[in-house]
Amino acid sequence: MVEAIFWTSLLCIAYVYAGYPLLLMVWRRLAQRPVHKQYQEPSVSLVMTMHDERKNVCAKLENCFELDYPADKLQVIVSLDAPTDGTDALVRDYAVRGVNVVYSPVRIGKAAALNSGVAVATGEVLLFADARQQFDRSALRELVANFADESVGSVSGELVLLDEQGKESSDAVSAYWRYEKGLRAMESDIHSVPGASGAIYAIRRELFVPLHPETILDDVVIPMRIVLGGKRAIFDPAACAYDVASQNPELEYGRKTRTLTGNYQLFAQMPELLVPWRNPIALQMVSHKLGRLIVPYCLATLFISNLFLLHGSYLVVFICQILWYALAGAGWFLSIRSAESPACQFPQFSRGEKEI
Amino acid sequence: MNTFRKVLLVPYTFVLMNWAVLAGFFYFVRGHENFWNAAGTRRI
Repeated sequence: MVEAIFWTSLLCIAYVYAGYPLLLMVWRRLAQRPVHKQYQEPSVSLVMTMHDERKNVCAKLENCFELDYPADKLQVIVSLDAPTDGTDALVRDYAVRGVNVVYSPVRIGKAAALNSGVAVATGEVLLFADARQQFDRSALRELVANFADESVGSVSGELVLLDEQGKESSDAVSAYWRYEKGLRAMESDIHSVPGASGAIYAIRRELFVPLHPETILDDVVIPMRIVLGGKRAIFDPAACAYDVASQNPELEYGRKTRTLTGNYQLFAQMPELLVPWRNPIALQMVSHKLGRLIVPYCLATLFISNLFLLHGSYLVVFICQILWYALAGAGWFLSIRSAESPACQFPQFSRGEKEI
Repeated sequence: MNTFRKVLLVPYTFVLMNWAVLAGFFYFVRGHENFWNAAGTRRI
């Protein structure tokens, strides 16, 4: 019995982090579905929701005006959710430059603010973004080129994490993010990605269905509804947005916790995502999203079951686990010494921060 | 030293991200006032 628990736990962890990527590599080789991109210029509504974004809003709006896209085909909409730091005054200065401002004097949450923003959108394509990240100049042109392929309903761009020197970051969080993007690229080549990067994704306007106001992960719910509707939700690394990498894992922990809470909510609200005859990427959903929710429990059962199996090769696995957690402890010690904020604090979620 | 720190942060980050799953479940059940979400402090 203990051995069965041990091996089930180990196989589950191995499948999520290694088996599934290997499966995708083989699957992509056998059944790749290329997207037929064609550069075009449909009208686009760029919708951003903001709460307290005083430090980011001006840079973001200037970045939007610098996009390589005809100004008369780009509608910029900022949906303000009861800002308290003067973000609204800064955004209103941009109204003379054509920015549409939607204002809510009371907190309604991001999903409801997004619904309000989309309600005034007139473009054939909706582009969603966060306030903090900067678009590459050609990002929008690359994104909309994918809509020339009729099977595509949603396109996610690539979020690139940069270090302080402006180069692609190489720390642990960024390594994890590159692994994640590798999975998304393969999933996209096969059919669809179970989610998008909230910093940069676009959909066909007619496919938008207003979100439930309590939705946490709009960037997963919107693309997944599109997939359930029969279109593809793809990933295009040619469309880039840039962000600065977290300097310590605790900041990433806060964002990740929010995302994972959203994943629990996602499965509770949309159980059909796990049903193969309803969702064409149910296997990807189980392996990629549900698997990540299961792994911590498997790590715990692996460790506990290993305590009862301290002989032969089991002992080697146990020593490896002890070493791994000892290194993690050392990493924690280093992190709290170098970080400004202490580790193990409860995460402070910045409004509008998305999964990275 | 910087490389050494980066290497040590890999297992730490892995453990922390897995701990985030447990915290996420807790917040899913109890709600979290700092989520930018209409559910706010009430149960999601």
